[in-house]
Amino acid sequence: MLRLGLALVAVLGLTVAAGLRFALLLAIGLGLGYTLERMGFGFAGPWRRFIRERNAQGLLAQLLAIGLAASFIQPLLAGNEQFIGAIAPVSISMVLAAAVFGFAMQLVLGCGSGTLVNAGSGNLVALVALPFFCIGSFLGTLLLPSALATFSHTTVDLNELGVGLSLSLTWAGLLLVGLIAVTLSQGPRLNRRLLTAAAIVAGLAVVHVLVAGQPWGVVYGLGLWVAKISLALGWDPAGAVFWSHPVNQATLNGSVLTDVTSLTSIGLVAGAAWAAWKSSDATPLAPGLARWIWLIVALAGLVLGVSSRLAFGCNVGGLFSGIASGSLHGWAWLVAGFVGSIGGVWVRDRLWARGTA
Amino acid sequence: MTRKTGIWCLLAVVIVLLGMDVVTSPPDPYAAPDPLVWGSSEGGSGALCSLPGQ
Repeated sequence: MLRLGLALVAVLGLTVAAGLRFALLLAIGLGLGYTLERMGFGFAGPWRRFIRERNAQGLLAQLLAIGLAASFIQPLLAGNEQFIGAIAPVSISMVLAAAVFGFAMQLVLGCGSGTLVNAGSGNLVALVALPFFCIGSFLGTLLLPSALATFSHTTVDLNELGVGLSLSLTWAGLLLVGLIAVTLSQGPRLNRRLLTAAAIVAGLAVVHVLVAGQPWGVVYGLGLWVAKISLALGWDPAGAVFWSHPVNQATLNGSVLTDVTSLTSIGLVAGAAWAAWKSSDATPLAPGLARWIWLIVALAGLVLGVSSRLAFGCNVGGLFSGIASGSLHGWAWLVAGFVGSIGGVWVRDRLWARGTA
Repeated sequence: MTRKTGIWCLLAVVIVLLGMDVVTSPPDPYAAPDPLVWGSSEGGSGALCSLPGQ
């Protein structure tokens, strides 16, 4: 009851301080964080279980969530000019970055949303990785112009084919991936808890678009936080192409409390803390890991940040929202990220076997 | 120490950083946009992960 009261105070306080739209975004983040932590819905963990155990339950729930979200988001994007989709270009650097992200997210067992949720639940690996993830995301913004200049980038927006065809292609792709997953899987394929979580996540993602006018993302906010700290320490953003863009200039000079991705990310952390509060007393903070493992965790966090920026989003902004918006880069992200994850699972198993006390 | 210690530490850092941000760039409630972009004449901010920023 106390936690619910605190959440309501935060949402009401933000309504007064910044406006109802931003309070609603914080509430959406709280709902997402609570759902992901309480119901065990995620991205890195289910991919790991599918790769190691041929357990497709989590992967199929992800596909359902993306499909449900796409069914509402793509018609919204088609019918309203004020809505912005998570449409980004495909390139060699984008695909490589998604593969590297998939690799690194298996090392820390946390993707974009997963690292925030795990940190919010008091997981020390995520708590160590998160600040480096933020720094990496900022570094990624400084590297992105070079990547854009070096490689040819092509944007493919399926919505240009018409919403009916775009949605049909999206569902066909999701069904194909689901069919492959089912064929390769072992044991029960459907999990009622995960499917329920998928429906909730999809619903919140759609509401996010209605409120913010753009899909759910994570990485943008992480880089913004470090950019704002750097600005306070004397960094001059005028020399950075990314931060000279009018949209980014506006967010850099504005309040974090009015930045869309920052609010949902803060909500994710707080929602996960809310869900994990009672059980957190029973779990030790520090897992028995060798010191060198912590260096790998920090490095993986840094890599997650850089790669997600170069891949135009993490599993949320790139994969989930990309596919749900009808962007081809979301599909490229899915394939590359999964290939990277196969390597990441293999390396993690060996490293953690040596580094666990 | 338990995970609750980790939660407390993280929440403390978030609150301190938010406090510093509010001091340096306070939000203006009088410039608050419509509650929803849906049905409004305003668009999304465009500050999202897929923005190439060029």
